[in-house]
Amino acid sequence: MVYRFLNTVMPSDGADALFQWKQFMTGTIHWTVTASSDGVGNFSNSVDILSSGGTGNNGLNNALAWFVIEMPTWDGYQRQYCFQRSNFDDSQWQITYTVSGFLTNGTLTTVPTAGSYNGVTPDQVLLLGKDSGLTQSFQPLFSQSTIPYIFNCIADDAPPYGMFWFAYGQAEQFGSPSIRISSIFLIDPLLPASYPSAFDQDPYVYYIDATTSYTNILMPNIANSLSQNIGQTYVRRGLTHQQFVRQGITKGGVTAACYGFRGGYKINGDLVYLNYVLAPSIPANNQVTNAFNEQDDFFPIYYFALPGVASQFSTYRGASTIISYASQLRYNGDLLSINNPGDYLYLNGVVIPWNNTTLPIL
Amino acid sequence: MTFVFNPNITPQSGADAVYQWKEFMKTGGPAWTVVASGDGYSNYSNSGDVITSKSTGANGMFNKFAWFVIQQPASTRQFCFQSLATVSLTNPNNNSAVNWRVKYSTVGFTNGGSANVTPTAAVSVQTGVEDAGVVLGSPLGTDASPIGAALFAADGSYRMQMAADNAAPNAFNWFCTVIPTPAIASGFLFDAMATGTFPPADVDPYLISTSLNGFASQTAVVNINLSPALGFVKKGLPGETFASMGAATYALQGSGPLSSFMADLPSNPYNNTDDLLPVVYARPHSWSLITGQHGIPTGYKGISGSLKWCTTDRTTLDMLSVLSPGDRIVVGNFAFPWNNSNPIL
Repeated sequence: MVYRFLNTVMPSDGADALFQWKQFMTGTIHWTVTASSDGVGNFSNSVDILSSGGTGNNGLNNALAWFVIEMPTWDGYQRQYCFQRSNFDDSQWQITYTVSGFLTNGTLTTVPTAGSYNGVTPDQVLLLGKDSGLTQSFQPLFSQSTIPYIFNCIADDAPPYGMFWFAYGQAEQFGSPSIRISSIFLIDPLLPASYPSAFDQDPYVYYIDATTSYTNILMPNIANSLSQNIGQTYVRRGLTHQQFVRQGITKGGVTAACYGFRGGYKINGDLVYLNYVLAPSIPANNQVTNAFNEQDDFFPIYYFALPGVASQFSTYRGASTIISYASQLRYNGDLLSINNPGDYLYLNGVVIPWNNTTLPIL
Repeated sequence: MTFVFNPNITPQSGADAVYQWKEFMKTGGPAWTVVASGDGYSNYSNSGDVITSKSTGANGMFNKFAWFVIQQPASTRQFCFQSLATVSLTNPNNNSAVNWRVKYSTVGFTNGGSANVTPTAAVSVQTGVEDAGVVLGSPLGTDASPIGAALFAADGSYRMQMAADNAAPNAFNWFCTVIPTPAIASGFLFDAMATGTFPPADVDPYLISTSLNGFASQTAVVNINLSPALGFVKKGLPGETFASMGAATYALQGSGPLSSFMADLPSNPYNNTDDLLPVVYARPHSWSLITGQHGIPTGYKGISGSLKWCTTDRTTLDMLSVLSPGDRIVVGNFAFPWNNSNPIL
């Protein structure tokens, strides 16, 4: 596995961002668009007819334009993602996902559906969109109010094909080195050996978040069982009680556990976080890099479906491949050098692999 | 590394327990060496083991102030165990070998010592004081005037299980359960951090835990006030300290405080086995804000090489099969290495 990078793209809007992402994934990462529609006159159930992120013919920025993009098959499953633009806003989209592939039944403004599996028809789930059956329902994928924003993506060019994009807008305040993250899409394969790979048919966690608050994204959301924007995953796929848990809406979603201690001002009080309270404030004189190598420590992220919400769905899921918790607060966009210069990037409590690209401040 | 075991021991006393453990560590496979000892009476050696019985009297372990220093193979790491036994020649029914004083040093206890006084380690160039930490016993005690604490429950009340790695990094543990139940009576853990989870420059990637019935319980190991682990922070660097470190639990943020969910999950639906998770050790910043803890360095230590968190609620002495049948045993909230022996209550 080698991560490839799409750095510092400044899209004109959400449709343009997604179009450039599609081009990156099909070009550099060798994913395939298997069906598409511009919503105004052209569609195909076999190829990509979208040639721009703009409006009009063959453009993605039309009401109800859509495309299906397929991850290269690596474990026998045909994972496909269908993105459809809303009929009112280029920042709002619906994303459906299937492990077994969509049928070729899409139309100009209607996305295709998947077949049947394990008693479920269609064998597809919503990754983004309101949980109102599978009718068209759209939610923010980008934060429209933060235009302009800068878009970045990392993607693994080999199995298991993890992917992480983030967009960010202007800095917190004039002169601040901290970027304001406004959009996240994470396709997170579970780390091999961290889950029963011989049996688990879909070892992935998904996390999609778009915000205008900038602070409630990544760590504050993925670790919060009550957040509307936490991880999503299949629980028991292929078994009885198969369920896709998502977004604090259906069966609670999947949460990235924190590391907790007891102690502090209230010695026997509440648990406190380990991740990002080893040094809980940003000023450099309070930072605690590892004494032996002067580096930040990272902690693996383990995913859990929520205990107690619906017991048959409560389960350990596995460890993240892409994101780790950071041992201390940093400015969003800080580069960290662990094995090579700038090989990790700090974003709101977590770190991701990086290619030493310095993020410009808008 | 391969763990070897000495299961289902029923010691008559704490002295018997420690004596049997010493013999196991010397000759049962772990190949540790007793490098000095004293029987609390008149027999003393600064090069070998004069403790030849579990009993009271000459060369016995069950004497007040009897002690030995035991050394890790290919290393200068040493533990010094000293008995603070209550011994009455007129009323032996009141004898007790519950209390001990235990010290740990990475450089060895090479100075002094007599039949009833433990030796000391060299002075650390970083701290200016003895290069050792008190694992058990009041820090107000001294070698000349030791103050111990309970290492075991009441004599004769517990079953003991021993395990030790027979090669580097030479971790070991023992734990005791109250006869005839699976309730934890006490335990002792010398835990090596797993390779690759700590910086190679850390010259002492080990932590030590000991407790009575709180041993290996989630409640205790995450709490500085109960039974966190002990070990060196910044060993060999300015600020070196022998201090408490916790084993972080896995927790979620919800409407209330951060809450742990260890032991709340079912077995994994795909393979019907319990999921076991790594144990991350660190000294959190919040602990340095506690009165008496100011100035003690904080930070991450490493991930346990011996323990795994249990995500499912199990009973102590339950055996788990991870890589081979019965290769783990539940102790409190953790899974310890095991050899599939059927533990006796």
